[in-house]
Amino acid sequence: MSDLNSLTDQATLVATMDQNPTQDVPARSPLHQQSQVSLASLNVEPGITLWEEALKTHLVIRGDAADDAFQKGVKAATGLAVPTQLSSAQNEHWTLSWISPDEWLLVGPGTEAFTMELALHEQLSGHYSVVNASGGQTLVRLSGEKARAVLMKSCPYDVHDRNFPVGKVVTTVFAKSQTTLRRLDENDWELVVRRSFADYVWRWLLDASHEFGLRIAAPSASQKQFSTASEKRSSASAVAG
Amino acid sequence: MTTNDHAYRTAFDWQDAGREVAAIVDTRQDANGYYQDEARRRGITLIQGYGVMEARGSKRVQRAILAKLDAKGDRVTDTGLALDCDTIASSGGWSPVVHLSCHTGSRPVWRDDVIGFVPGETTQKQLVAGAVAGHFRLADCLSDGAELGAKAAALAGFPTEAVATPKITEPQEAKAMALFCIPHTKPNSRAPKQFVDFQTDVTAAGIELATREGFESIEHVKRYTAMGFGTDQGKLGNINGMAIAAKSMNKSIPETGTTIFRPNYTPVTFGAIAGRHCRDLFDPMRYSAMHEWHVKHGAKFEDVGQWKRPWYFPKPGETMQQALDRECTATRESIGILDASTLGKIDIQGKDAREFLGRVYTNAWAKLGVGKCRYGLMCKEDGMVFDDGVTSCLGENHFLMTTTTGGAAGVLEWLEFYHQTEWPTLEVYFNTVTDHWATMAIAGPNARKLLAELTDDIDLDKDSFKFMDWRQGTVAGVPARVFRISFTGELSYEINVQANYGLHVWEKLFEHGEKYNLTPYGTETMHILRAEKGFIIAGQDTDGSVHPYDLGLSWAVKEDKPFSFIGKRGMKREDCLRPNRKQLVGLKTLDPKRVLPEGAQAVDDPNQPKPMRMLGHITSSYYSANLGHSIAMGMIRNGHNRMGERVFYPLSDGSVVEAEICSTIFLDPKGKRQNV
Repeated sequence: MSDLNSLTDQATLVATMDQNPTQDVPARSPLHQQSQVSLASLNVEPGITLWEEALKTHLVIRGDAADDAFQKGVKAATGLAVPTQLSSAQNEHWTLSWISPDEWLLVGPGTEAFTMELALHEQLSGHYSVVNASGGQTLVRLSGEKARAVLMKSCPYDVHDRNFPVGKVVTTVFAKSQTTLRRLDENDWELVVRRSFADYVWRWLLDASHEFGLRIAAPSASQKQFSTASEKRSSASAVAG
Repeated sequence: MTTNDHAYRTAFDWQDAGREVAAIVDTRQDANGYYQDEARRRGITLIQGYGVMEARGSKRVQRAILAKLDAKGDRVTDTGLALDCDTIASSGGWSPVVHLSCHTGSRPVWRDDVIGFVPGETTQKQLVAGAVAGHFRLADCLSDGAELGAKAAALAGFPTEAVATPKITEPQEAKAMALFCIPHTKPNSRAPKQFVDFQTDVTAAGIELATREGFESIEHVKRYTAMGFGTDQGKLGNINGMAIAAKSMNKSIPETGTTIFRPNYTPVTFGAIAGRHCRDLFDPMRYSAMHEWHVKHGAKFEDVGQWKRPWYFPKPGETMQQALDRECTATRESIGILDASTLGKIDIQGKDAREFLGRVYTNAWAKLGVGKCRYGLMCKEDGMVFDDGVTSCLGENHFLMTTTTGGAAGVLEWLEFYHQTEWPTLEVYFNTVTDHWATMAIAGPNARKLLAELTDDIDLDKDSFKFMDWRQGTVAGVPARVFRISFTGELSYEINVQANYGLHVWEKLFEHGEKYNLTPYGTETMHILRAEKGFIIAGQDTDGSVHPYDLGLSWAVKEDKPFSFIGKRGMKREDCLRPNRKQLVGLKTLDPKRVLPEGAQAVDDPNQPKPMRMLGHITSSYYSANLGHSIAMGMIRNGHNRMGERVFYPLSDGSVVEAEICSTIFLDPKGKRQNV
């Protein structure tokens, strides 16, 4: 890894860096305290289930959607076609969401940030950028029959089925913060939340969900607050292979 | 005082909030139902058939003078009753808010049963439901809303189903009384002022005068008196005023009619009444990745934008000044640590990134090598400084810009604005990484020793890792970018790690830092330490009227860049070049213990007649424990040429503080401490 991190290479145009430690170091997601809070037992069927999809890889990709080479490069690195306006593309590991006319968000396994960053640099050329934002944001999942009702209270954007079908992605105002909102299924939504605003958004969601009955689930099972170096390497090589 | 049952609820709320209700004065003689029973049950004095005809007291209410009224409320039939109180609230009942409906061309019509105007016929596609249609009871509002909502959906072509409205138990209400002006024993023209429109001070007597003067149309009455011209657009007083006008002309309210309302309408938002943007959710509170540590260690917090930043870390029993003195001296004597995560960080990539920097910063960027950092000033077009920070060259086409905490969003917007509107051909992308990196600044003579204990792959030798360099490596087991930059003037390293690992690295620093008395400090000590060195804070020592030369920062302006830069032309305007501009200088009070208040104005002669000729104000002022005296920075006319001269600060308490103009750099003027 050390050659990849080297700065002495004069050809270094863009600095890349494996930002995850190779040793066992505790990682704290933006909501690591809040999402451990379990609410008192409810005597009603929860209308809302809330959890954090913690410690994912978040890469922001900028480029020209009209450029064939960019389209092909992203596809080669991620296996995903660059999604058009307000939509997303998904495979087993990665979700690629349209954010703005020259911006996409790639979310995937937390251990894969560097591997994917390098793959993108290898496949892309010309005017583009890849920025690791994994520490700066997190995913919050909002699911349940009343999830849409909670969003109706929280966003000015129209989340009605007619305007917000499954698969759509919108970056919009959320309470007094912002979120990138994606509809995964009829009653299953995902919010991309900035780290420093995560506590606020979480508390807003607790408050907005209260009337419908709320359950806070454990952070997504595929994620661990502690991951070991060996696990990381094996999965990295799997993707690279 | 009330004409209706709804105001009783306000009295009950007042009582529930732990306050005393002197009495409920009800103008109705015979109202009797749930609310009256409840008032009695609560032990509130209920005075029926009376109105408040006068308030007594000067500067604040002391007493209410009551009048017994006849059944219609036209006449005073008895006096003599008075109540000692300090607040009088009065209610004339609800008025439908017809403004928006009016904008569609609908003329309001009076309804006696509603005691108000409701929307009349309209040619537009409009349905009115709830209180605006005269339904004031919750159950009526709900059923009206459900019915008309379904109707609207049907008219818009959507199938509808019957909606069950929630079951509501509402107490029976007594009929409200149509009363718009409490009579006095004297005619209105002689009685104490009876204010109708609280925003424009229109009185009942004023309205009557308008009609006597021949202004009979209600639109003319409005213009004669200014009734309804306030920002509430007549919501509080208009109905009362129109009723007073009608009565004085012996007409009915429908005959007199109402003024109509034009856009814009100023709404009371639903949020103000029923929303959740209140208490803890009033505004986002932004936290850094180390926030829980700060809380655990007793930090006092300061709001910086929406961020909660540690302000200082008092130990038990310490005053604020004691804590600051301790934090300041510990940093200069050994080592201190600051959570600098909140500073704005913008990742800049693209083959034209360097060129772009040269255009938005005042100084040169063409030759900054990979691995190097540089301080930059940003100006608006007028040449005035609006933000500053250190930008580092990460790769030939890759930079990391830092901004002030409060200016982060504004700077990113500024860069995007210039890129999209002025220089769209430059190939560059900007991305915020503020939240992605946790940043901890360790500063002090022992900073290198501490860092050396936590890294084995960064060469910390002073000749290879110099001041204003940055290096990549591992700190406490976590990949890090370490920037050797300094806002304290001390040997200093800013350690950046992916924020998920921020708390771990922070704690490791303390584990190893104990023997060096590693001292956490907050924004206040940061301010003092930087002021000792004369480093400015954009937005504190600048206020949008100060260019780099005023600040003495000519070294940070590169005039001969091939392409111009934002502000270059602005700072060459005649006014920017004239002599005698206010310039930033240091100020030392002759009494070393006296700390000047920020904002204090300097004069040459404190005995000159008022208004005095002011020379400029204090922008930053602190007590420096390291120097043993107070330090200040401030603007002084022609200050750069007045070194060593004295000025006076007359203060609002009558005292005058004398100070000497000096360099802004109070400590280590040669910069030896940061270059070790």
